[in-house]
Amino acid sequence: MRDSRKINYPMVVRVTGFLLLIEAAFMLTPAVTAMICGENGAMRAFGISTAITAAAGAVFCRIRPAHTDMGRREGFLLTASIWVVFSLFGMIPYMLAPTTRLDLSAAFFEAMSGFTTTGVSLVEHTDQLSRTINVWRCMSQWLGGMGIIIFTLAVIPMLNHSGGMQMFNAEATGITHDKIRPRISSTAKQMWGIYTCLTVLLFLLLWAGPMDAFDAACHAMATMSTGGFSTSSSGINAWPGTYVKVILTVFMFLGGVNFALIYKAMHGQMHALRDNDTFRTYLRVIALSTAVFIVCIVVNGAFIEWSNVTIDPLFQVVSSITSTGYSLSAFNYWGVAVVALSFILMFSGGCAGSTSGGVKVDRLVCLMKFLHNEVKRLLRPNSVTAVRVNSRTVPAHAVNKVVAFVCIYTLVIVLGGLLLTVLNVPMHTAFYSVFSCVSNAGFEVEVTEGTFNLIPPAGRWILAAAMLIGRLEIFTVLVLCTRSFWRR
Amino acid sequence: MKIVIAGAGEVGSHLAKLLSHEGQDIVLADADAAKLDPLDANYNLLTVCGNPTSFATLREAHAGDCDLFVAVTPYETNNLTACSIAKSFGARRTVARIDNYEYMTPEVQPFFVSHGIDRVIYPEYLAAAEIATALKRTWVRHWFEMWDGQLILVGVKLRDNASIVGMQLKDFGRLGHNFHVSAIRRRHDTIIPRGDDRILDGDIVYFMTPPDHLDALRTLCGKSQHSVRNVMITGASRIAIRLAAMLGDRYKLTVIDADRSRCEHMAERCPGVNVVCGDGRDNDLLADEGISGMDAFVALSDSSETNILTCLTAKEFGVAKTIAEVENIQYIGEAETLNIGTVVNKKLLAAGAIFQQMLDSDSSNAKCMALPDAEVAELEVRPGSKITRAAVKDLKLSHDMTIAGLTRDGRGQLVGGDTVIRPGDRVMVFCLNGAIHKVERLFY
Repeated sequence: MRDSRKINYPMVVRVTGFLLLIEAAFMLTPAVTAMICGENGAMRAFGISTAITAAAGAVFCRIRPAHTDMGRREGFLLTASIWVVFSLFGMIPYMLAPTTRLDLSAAFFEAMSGFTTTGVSLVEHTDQLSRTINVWRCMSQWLGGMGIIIFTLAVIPMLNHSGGMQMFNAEATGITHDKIRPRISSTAKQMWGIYTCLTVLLFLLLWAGPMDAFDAACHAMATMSTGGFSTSSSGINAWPGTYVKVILTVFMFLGGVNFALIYKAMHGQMHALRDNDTFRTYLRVIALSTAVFIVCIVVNGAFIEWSNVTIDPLFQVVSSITSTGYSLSAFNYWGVAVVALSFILMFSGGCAGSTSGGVKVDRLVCLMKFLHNEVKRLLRPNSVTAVRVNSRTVPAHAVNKVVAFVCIYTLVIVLGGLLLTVLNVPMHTAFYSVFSCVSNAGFEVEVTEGTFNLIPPAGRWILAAAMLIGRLEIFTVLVLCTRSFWRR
Repeated sequence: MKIVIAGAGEVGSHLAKLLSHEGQDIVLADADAAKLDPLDANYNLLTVCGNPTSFATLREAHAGDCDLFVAVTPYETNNLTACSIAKSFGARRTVARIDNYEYMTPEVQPFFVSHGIDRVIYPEYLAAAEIATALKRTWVRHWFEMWDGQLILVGVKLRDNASIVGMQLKDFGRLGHNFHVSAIRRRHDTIIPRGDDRILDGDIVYFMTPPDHLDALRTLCGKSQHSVRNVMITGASRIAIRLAAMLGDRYKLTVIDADRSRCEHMAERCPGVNVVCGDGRDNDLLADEGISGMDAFVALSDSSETNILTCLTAKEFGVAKTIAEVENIQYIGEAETLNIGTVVNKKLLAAGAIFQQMLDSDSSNAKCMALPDAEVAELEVRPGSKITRAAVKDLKLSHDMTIAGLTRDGRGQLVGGDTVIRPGDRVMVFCLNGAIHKVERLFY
């Protein structure tokens, strides 16, 4: 009998090796792009990076563990560490490529910002970047959007057992995970299938519009993963027409919907959408916020043409709530109230099981119903209440976990902000940037435009940690910080 | 293979874990979310919370496109209804757990088939049959006959009085014995032995042998057969009632139970049985009822621990054969090391019956027995299957399975390295848990 309290390190390293080989395979795409575009410096950078990553992967794979069991601890450890390891290897191109030449902390920040789909960038003029680097940035967002582990579960049969189940739980977003198929690998395959199809569709639609193939591909990947990297320094404003905005709004919206729901809707169960409380709340919040945005726009006198009160506010609301982080240049003229509201939208995030960041609508729905019950109980102490979401009662321990989650989430923002102020970062920048990073939104509005460059190297590490905590939804990272995780 | 299991009780969740481990697509449905949650979080399967007899639940569980639908809720009527609904959705094969002997009789099977229930399993009946076999052959722990009795698999616990203890497997061939050592259960592990493995004191060894060689094997193992006439049973459970009905008047039965109403029920159902109301853990009571004159002692109370301990007590009173019902699978290994003659487990028996359904989706030819961490299956070889392509030693079989014997043209023979298996043979395979899908691949 194996002692389940002892962490199976060799197995964790071995699986990490497999994952690095996958990352190396992904790195080949920018390398090929470089070859096509004739960017020799970038090609060398990616050649070296791919070689290093593949070599490290191959070495790790050679480790033969005594037994292949993976339990809870291994699941948490592997899931949390793989995001760091991916960023560590994914940053090599940023350090080597002639157009970027970022230093260590900046490169790690940029890589983590990509994989966690945060989308903040230390590069001020993205249009001066080589195409190759842009492809890699958007690709890292696309890979991180649905999740590295879920991708792995889809392609490596080795993890198709209960160990893989633990890793899936550690990475998937939301209160509980949604299984759509009995075996975890087929669930992962379906999720990635939908994700890939939507991305390809978005690419074709953008390509049909004003974008060229390169811009369309990059934006398709960055939008579907609700990441928000752009190939242009002015972001999405480089394509001012309504067409791009409408298309992006639709797909950002889809990126914020639970993929299990999309799966069900695609399989003809449209009632699943209608009966889903979370989805309905998601719609309602978007509709209500857009209405408030329109009022603010009119009050601030920014109503110049019809698109200002139709697609613009809707685009901005969806971009905020899904934590994509694209912003229109007009946004700065809509008043302060709008900025504050988009903060709240960023905090909320999309549905659980989507690619968006934030606390997730599911948790907020649960929290609101719980608060409602508690307030009701003040007047009627004997009433028996239940938190019902999606016509199922949420068990008390799950409600507790939601409450704890929201508290710790807020605490992370406060502590992170505090740490940054210690490093002499101005107060509002400090709190705003941590907030933006934990929510994986990466908004760059007036307050922070370019200010991520003002943050000292030590602050970048703090923000990178905040992004990771936000992406893995706190508990996976938090459990690694406890003593009982490591001690037998 | 897609399998929907309705009911996450003991049998249901055991099956779900086991089959998920075998790489099957499992959907588990139950009305109680508390039973499903731990399984959902830790095992590679899908759970559906809802009443298994509800159309909506079964639709959500995709019972319509499953290959096997297994209903194992505690209530027979629910199981029958659930199977019927699943079949109407289009489930390929349905199995319901029942607890009524009448439903097992061949005459009523057409009725069940017409109502969408392809097969019924009755774990209590299987347990009673197992106990009856154990009473007939006191020297074996497991007894599994091939379809027509041409070959028999026996599990025997060896002590140091057996002449083969300490020998290596490769030496047996030289002695010219007509048996095949299929597996060895040593403490908590089951081993598929190779030529250089040695048989040790305390091992349970599974031999495959033709029936005419059984007596020689028994002497080799240092065992003697003694006939059983007087049997004491503690616990007037459903298994006890079934057992009494099955044994008839070949044995003199004494049944002890502390619950008066259960005693009365037993006395009513089984007239020839001496029923005693009292605590089976009470040594004075056991002595009064003449335990020292008993040939066998069967412990069938609801608690596995009590069963194990009362069997040990019976051993001290000098009862030669003890049989205990142990429902905690983890305790089976312990019970086996503690000199308890035969251990009966309803879950394993049910699992064996379900495996049989799984292996044999087209005909009713397969036969299967589940052990704590291994399965024995008898399969018919189809033309063109992988296993017929080369001699056994060239097939590169994985180390967790072995082919023990086969019957060809109605005659049993053991399988050696040079044997070539032909279509139409019936083959007995012994495999460890998690390997049954490999067996499937070899045969289909």
